[in-house]
Amino acid sequence: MKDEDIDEILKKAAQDTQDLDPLVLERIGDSIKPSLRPVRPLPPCG
Amino acid sequence: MHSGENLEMLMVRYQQGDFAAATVLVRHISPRLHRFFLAKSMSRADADDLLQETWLRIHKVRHTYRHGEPALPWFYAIARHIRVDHYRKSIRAAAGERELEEMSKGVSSAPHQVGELEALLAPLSEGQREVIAMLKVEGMSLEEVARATSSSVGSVKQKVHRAYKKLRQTIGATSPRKWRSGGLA
Repeated sequence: MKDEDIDEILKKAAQDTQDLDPLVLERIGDSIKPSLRPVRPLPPCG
Repeated sequence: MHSGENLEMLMVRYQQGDFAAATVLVRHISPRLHRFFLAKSMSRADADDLLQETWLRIHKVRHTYRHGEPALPWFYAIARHIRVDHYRKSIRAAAGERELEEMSKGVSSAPHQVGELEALLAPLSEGQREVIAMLKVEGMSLEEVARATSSSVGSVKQKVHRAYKKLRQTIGATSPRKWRSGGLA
């Protein structure tokens, strides 16, 4: 069995993974919204 | 939208307090992180909880994202930490759970449904599952995986090589056709 065959099997298995419940996404959005304010990012490295 | 440029621009806008950008990030990144948790032998309910916890952590430390750096490995690095924390907590709770198991004997429990991806990756070590999930399932580059796992590209390649060796044995020992047809008999 070639690496490409395993790639294909992995890809197929991933596609069959159940979709994420939209309610979970909604809850996440709701949880971060109240405290969403600008923050000062860390300076770039180097 | 895997191109890091868009993700990075959205991260900058998220840091500026733009809720629309935050929403796009949540919708784009969450399914990937959710699959990442599911690929690590986790129930759907646990994966949902960890995803929510991951976003709370992302939100808390969003200032630590440095402009110009690839955003995807930054997200996955946080998800990894959340998962490790969860694992440690579950180890600590193990003793208590054993007692609960004794108490709940006779009460039927519903084991979580094993997905095909989870079953496929089950024989792999923790580290191998992690890199395969990021590299082969999520399509991240070797460099991105190395950055997310705080390791080197060489180390990632070695894990992938060993994982494929094991997967080849596992799939060969069962029936390649079974996996290709997408059916877990």
